Amino acid sequence: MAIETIGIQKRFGTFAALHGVDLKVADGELVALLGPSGSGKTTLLRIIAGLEFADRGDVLFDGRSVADVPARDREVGFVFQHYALFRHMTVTDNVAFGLEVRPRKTRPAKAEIAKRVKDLLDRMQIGELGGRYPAQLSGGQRQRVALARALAIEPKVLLLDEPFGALDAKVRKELRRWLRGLHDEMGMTTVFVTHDQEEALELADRVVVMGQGKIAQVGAPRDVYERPVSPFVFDFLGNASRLPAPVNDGDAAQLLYVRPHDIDVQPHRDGEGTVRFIASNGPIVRLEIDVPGAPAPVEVELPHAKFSGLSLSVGSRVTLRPNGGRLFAAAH
Amino acid sequence: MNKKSTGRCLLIGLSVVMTLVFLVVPLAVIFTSAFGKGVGHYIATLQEPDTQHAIWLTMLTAVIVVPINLLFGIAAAWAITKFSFPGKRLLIALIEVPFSVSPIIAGVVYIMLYGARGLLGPALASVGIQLMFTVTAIVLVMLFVTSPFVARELIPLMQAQGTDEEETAVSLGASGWQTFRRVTLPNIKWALLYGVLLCNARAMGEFGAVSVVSGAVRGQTNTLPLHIDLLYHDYNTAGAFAAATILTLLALITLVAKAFVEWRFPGGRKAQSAH
Repeated sequence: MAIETIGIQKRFGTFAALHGVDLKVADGELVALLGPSGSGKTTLLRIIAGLEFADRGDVLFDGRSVADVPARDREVGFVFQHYALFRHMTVTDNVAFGLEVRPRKTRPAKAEIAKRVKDLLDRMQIGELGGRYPAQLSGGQRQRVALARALAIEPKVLLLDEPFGALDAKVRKELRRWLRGLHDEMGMTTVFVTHDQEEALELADRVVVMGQGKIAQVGAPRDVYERPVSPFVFDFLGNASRLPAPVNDGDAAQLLYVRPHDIDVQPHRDGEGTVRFIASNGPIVRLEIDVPGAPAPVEVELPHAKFSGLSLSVGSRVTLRPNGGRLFAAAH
Repeated sequence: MNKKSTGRCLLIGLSVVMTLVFLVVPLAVIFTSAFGKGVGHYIATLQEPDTQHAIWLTMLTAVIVVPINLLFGIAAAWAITKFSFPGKRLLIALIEVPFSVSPIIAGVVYIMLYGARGLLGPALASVGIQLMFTVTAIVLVMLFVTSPFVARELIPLMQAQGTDEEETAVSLGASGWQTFRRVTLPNIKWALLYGVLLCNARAMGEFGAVSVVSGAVRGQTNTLPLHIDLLYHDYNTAGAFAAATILTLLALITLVAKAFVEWRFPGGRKAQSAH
């Protein structure tokens, strides 16, 4: 099912959570809402689910407004950041909930519900956990139960709020790939919220970068990463080093935003930069270089082998050659 | 014996002595005094129609008051913790009022409102309704005095539990009632039971407010606490204590029920607030 939001505005007291969000999500797409905390991404997700209502604007499902459709009738699977499993119910009862609460006319028979729940748990690879309570599960297992529960009602849209936020790094990577596989297999429109750029770039078909209640940029992961339209997006998608850019007289000052691994460094007696700090632990060496005109020390990342060949130490003079990068007006 | 354990012994000893002096001895006195004139007199006192009526009236009022405040407590806690609305803080403060106001003031306020020369009393009298000095009045002040118990137990727990589970239930297609019965209620049931027990204990034991509005008409508007007071002032000490044993027994039953809840579901109340 396709989702569209038109001019969504939302205030909480004096805080403007969203001001004017227009977004289109195509049927079967996997979209990430990426942004720092307070950017409005979760509020947007909750408005799509019907758990929150916009002050202005509209939400369309397949072109029809759902402004008057309450959450319980939207047929949306929503997975909370902390899963919100029903703590007094077993895994099986949790997953069966959405089917059990249906009106008698549309409720499947008991045996049918049991079978569907079993199938779902098997598919989530947690078939043996049906009798457990949420408190007896690991984070990753809870996540799968929450997903199974949301999928049990065969939703047209799956919405996930920070689906991997509460998991440790290793489980997170594993579940990420698994979720991508699940989405490809089931083909339902999926929107997830994250503040982790790596997660968004790796998992999503399209990334929606949000900042301060607005959409900053929308595009394929590669597009967004390689062609950020603003310093905010550039900054948010990875580390950024800022170099002063030569300007003609009368032009506004500009800064070149560039990734630390895209800067080439050479020792040079008259180089413009001075090495102020070297961190050589781990697979890459991180340098901080003072450059006149740069708003902060410039960060550079080098592979170990390359670094050894340069024989640099704190105080060395270097030239910097950026490779690519984006020019933006210097912030005031 | 080292210093640390001396201190410990001292503290334990002090608690035991305090418990004995302030709790066990008075309880023992109630029962020995009640049987002071023999078992026959004890039974005779309890069989007096006025005493029987007082027992019956106390149970009756509790049976009316507790369910009403159970519903009120759930409704207030539900509204306060699951929704945000203007005036929410005021409502929280208002729920506390019966706790901070002396019961006797509650009684006096009801007299000033509904009494013969009160604000609303004459209007009610003109349509033939007399509230003061009736069972209705007793129920009304008891409702006032015991209204915070259930809500007060539920609000902190429900605040800690948040609204995620309810929102999930709704997004899975549950109605408001289904969400309450299948998700909220199981999560709060032990706190609810605890609140009900406290509410019940207070309703049966309430003296101050009830004494102002009931008129203490023997055999009509006399609850057990009032009846005990009357017997005592009649110099019927044994009778007063005999009646007191009944009230004490009712309180002990409540205590046992509370202990049972805590024993049968150890950590049950805690487990509800933790995930």
